Amino acid sequence: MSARFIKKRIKLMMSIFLAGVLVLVLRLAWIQFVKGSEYSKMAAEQQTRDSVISAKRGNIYDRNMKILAQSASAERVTINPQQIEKRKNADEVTSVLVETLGVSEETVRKQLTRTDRQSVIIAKQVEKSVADTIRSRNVVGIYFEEDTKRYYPYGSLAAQVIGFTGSDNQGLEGLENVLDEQLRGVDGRIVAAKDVANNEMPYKYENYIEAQDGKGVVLTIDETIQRYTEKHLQQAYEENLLGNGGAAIVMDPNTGDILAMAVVPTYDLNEPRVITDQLLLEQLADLELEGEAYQEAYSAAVTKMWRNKAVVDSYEPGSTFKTIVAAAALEEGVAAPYEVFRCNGVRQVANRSIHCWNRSGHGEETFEQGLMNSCNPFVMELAARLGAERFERYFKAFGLTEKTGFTIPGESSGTFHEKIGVVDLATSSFGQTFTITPLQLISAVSAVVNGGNLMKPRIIKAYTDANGKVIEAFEPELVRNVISEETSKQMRQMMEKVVSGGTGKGGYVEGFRIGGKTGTSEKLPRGSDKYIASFIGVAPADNPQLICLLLLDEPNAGATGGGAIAAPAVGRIFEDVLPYLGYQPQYTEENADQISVTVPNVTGLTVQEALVKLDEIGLKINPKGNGETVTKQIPEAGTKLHKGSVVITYTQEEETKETAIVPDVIGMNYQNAKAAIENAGLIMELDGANSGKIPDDYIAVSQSPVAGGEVAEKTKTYVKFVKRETN
Amino acid sequence: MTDKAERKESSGQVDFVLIILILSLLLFGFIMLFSASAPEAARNGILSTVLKQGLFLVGGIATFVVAANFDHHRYKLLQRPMIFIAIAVMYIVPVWGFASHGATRQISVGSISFQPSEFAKIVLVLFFAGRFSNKKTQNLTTDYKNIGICFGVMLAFCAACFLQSHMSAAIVLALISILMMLIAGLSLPWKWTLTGGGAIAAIGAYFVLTEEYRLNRFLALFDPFAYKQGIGWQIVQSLYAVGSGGLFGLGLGQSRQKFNYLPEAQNDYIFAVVCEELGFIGGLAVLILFVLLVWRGICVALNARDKFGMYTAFGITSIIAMQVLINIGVVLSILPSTGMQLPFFSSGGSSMIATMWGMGILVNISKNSKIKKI
Repeated sequence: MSARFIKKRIKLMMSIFLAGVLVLVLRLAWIQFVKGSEYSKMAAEQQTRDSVISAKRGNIYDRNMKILAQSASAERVTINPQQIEKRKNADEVTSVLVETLGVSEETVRKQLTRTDRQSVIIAKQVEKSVADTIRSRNVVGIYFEEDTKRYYPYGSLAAQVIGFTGSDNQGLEGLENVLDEQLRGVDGRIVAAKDVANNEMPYKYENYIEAQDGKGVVLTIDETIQRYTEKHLQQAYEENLLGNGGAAIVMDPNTGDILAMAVVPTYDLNEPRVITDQLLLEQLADLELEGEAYQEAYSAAVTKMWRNKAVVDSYEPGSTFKTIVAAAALEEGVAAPYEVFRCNGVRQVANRSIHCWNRSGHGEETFEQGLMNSCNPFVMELAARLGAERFERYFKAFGLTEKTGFTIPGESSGTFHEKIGVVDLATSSFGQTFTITPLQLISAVSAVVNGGNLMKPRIIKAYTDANGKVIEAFEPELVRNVISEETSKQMRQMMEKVVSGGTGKGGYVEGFRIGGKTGTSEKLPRGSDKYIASFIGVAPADNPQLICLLLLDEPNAGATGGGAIAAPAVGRIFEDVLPYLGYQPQYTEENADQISVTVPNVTGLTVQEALVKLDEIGLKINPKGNGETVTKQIPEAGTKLHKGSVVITYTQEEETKETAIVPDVIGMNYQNAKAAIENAGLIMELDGANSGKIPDDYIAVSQSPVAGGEVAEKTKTYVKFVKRETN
Repeated sequence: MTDKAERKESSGQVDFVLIILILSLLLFGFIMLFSASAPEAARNGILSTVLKQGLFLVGGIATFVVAANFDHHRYKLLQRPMIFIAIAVMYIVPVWGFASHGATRQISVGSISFQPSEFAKIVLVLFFAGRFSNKKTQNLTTDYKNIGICFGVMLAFCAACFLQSHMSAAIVLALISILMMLIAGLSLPWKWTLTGGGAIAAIGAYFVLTEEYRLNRFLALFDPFAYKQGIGWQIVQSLYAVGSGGLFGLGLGQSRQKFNYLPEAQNDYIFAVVCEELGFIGGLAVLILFVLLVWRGICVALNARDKFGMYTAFGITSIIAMQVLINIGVVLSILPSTGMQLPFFSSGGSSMIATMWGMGILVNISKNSKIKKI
C-alpha cells in the first residue's frame, strides 16, 4: 500500500477516535450536569447513616414541682439487614436478639428479610443494661440508637389526668396526649458518612442537629391532696362495691385550679395495660368469660379505666344541682332566705304529681330548711317562680351548656334541652332530665360560693424549660360573673347548715366549717335501682378555699344515698387536706370536750408525773395500786380519746375490772347503740353534729373511741348519727 | 501531519511534546491512583498499595527510557521469536496462572505476577508492523494466504484470551489486529466480510449468552438501577460517583464512592473517582490529555520515516486510544463492564510497564521522524 493510502486511513481512524471521545464528553456532561443532582442525592443517601436522637420528653410536675412523670434514657436496638446478609451472620444476630430482648425469633427473621433497608428497628425503649449486654457480644449488624422511656414515680397517682405514652414516646392518654406537642420537643439527628460496610468514613461529614427537649408542664394538682383524695375515694369505692367506679375533684373555687382529680378503678401508669384493681378483677371474673371473650372484656375494662370519668362522663347531677337553683332564685329576688315554704310531699305540675323524696312531706320550712332537707317541692317552687326563660339563662350563665375548655381530651358538655316545658322545668330543678359533667358542676358550684365568679377550671399552671425553670405561667381565667357576693354569702351560710344540720351531716368534720350539698340520682332507666351518690363540699364554709365533688357510681353495698356514703368520704378528704393546707381545727365552747387527743405513753413515769402529763392535754387519771412507777396504762398510748376522759394507770401487775372494751355500734340506730354502749359499762354521748332527739331512721356512722379499744369504765363514747337514706 | 511537515528533514530529536504529555499523564495518573487507593491503603497498609505502585512507576520510567533509546528497527529482527514466545506464554497462563477476579489471566514468577496479555498487545503490533512493512507479506487484497496467516495469529491470541476468560484483552487484540490490517489496505469481498463479521458476531453472542455473568452485564447496562443490589451495582456506583462530581468535583481526595462502593476504585473505575473528586473539569482534562497524546502518536505515525515506524506508531497509539474509549465508556455506562484498565491511571504493574514500553517505542520512532519539533 502506498504511504498516502495508509495516512488517509490513519487520519480516518483518528477521526473515529475523536468522535468516540466526543460521545464520552457528551455522556460525561449528561451524567454530571443533567443527572448530577439526582445521582449525588442517591449517593448521599447510601453514604450517610442517619440516626435520630430522641428529644427528651418534658417532665410533668405537680404544683409544688414534685415530678409526676419523667423520661429516662433508654436505647433502641436496630439491625442492618443488608450488612447481615453480606456477612451471613443472620443466625448469630437472631439468637442474640431473641435471648436478650425476649423478642420472638419469627419477628427477627421477618425483619432480616428486609434487605432493601440499612436499618430496621427491633426493639424500642430497651434498658441500658440490656443494651450493654447485647453490645458486649460484638455482633456485626446490630446497632443502637438513643431512646427514652417514660417513668411515673407515683405509679397510679392522677393516672386518668396524666395519662401515658406509647413505645415511640407519643402521648396516648390524658395530658401526655393533649400536651404531646409541648412535651415531645423536636428530635435531633446525626448524619454521618459511612462506607459500604457501615463504618464511618474519615471525613468531617458529620452533621449533628441537636434535639430540642420538650417543655415541662406544671400542673395545678397537689400531689398530697391528690393522694388523700385517691385514698378516700378508693375506700368509698371498696366499701360501697361500686359497679361503675367513681370520681372525685378537689378544686380551689377562687381560681379554678384543680388540686386533685381522682378516678376509680385506677391503674399504674407504668403498666397501663394491666388491671390491678381487685374489685374490677372480681367483676370481670363474675362475667365467667373464657378465652377471647375474656380478653375482649378485659381490654374493654382497661380502656374504661383510662377514661377520666370526672371530665368525660356526663350524668344527672340530682340534688347537688339545687344549689344552682337556690342561688338563681336568691339572685333574682324571687324568694327570700327567711321566706317559709310548704312541702306536702308532692307537687302538682301540669297534670303530673311530682313527689318529694320524703313522701310524707317536710311540712313548713324556711328557704334554708328547704335546702337542708333537700326538699323537691321547695326547689320546684323556686324554679316555677324563676320561669323557664330565667332558669335557662342561669343554667347557661353557670356554664352548664358548654365545655369548660379543660385540657383533657374527650371533655363532654352534657345534654340540655332548650325551651323546656313546665314539667321539665320542675324536674330539672332537682337535677334531672339533663346531664352535665362533674367538672361542669364543680365549676358552677364554685361560682355559687366564691362570690359569684365562674372560673375556667384549669390544670396547667405553667410550662418550664428542660431544667424545670418556668418559662410561661398561666393566670386563673374568669369566665363571667354569675351572681352577686351577697347571694353567694347567703348560699355559703345555707350550705354550711346543710352539713351541720341537714342531709349533708355525713360530711361534717370536727373543728372545721364545712358546707355542702348531697345528691342521689337514680340512673336511667328509672327503676333500674342503680344510683349515683354524690356530695359537693366546700371548706371552710365562711371563706371557701376548697371545693370537693365526689361521685360514687352504682353503689352495691346497701346504702345508695349521697349523704350516707359520699358525704363522709368528702368529710374524710377535708379532714386530711385542711390541716395540710394549714387550717387548724377551731372548737367552740360547747364542743370543746369533744376534741380528740392522743393518749401519751405514761408507763415508766411516777404517778405524779403521769398526772401532770395527762392533765396537760386534758385527760384525767385514775391511779391503781400502791407503787410509785406506772407499769401499765389503759388505754394504751396512741389511742384517741375525747378530752376529759380517764386514763387508768397501774403501778403493779394487777388485773382490774374497771376497764371496758368499746363495742362496735356503726350501723345501729340510736336505741341499739345506746344499749350496746351502756352494757359495756360506757356512756354514750351524741356527736356535735347531732342534737336533740335522734329519729329512728338515723344510724350511727362514726364513733369515738373506735371499737375494740380497752378504755376506763364510764368513758364517754361519742357517736355520730346520720339519716339512713338521705337525698 | 501536514505536507509542510512531511518535507522537514529528520532532526534526530525526540518529540518533547510527546514526552511532556506522557509525563503529565503519569503524574496525573499517579496522584489519582494515590487518592483512589487511600481507603485500601488505610486498610492494608501503605506498603502494599502506594509504595508498590511507586515501584511500578519507577520500573515503567526505566522501561520507557530503555525503550526510547532502543532502535525500534531491531524489533523487526526480533518479531518472529517474540511472537512465538508471546503465543506460548499466553497459553501457559491458563494452565499455570492462578485465579484472580474469577478469571485466570496472570502468571506469577516468584512473588511477582504479571499479565502477559498487556505485553502481547505490543508484540502483536510489532508483528503486524513488521509483516505489513515487508514487501512479501504486505498484500492484504489478493494474497489470501497472507490474510489467512494474519487472522490466524489474531485468533490464536484471542483464543488464548478466551481461555484466560479475559474478554477485554481479546477485544483489544482483535481490534488492534483488524485496525492494523485495515490501514494496511485489507480489502475483502463483501461476502467474506459479511461471513466473517457474522461469524464473529455469532461467536460473540455465544460467549455472551452462555456465560450468565456476561449476559447480565449487558442487561444491567440498560437498567442498572433495577439490578442495583446485584450485577448493576458497579454501574450504579459509578454513576453515583460521576454524578456527584458536578462541575468542579468534591475536591482532590474527597471521593466518598471510593470507600468500597466502587469496586476496583483504583483500577477499572479510577476515572469515576477522577470525575467525583475533580468534576467535569477533571474528567475533561483526562480526556484532553489522552486526545493530545493520541494526536501526537498519530503525528509520529504520519511522519515516520518508514512504514514499519508508521505501522508501529499507529498500533501503539491505537492501543492507548482503544483502552481509553472502552474504559471510560464502561465508567460512563455506555459499554458493558469488561475489566479494561485506563492507561497511566489504573493500578497494576503489567499495564504500567507495557504502556511505558509502548510509549518508549513511540518516542524512539519520533526521533527518526520528520515531525516538526518544538
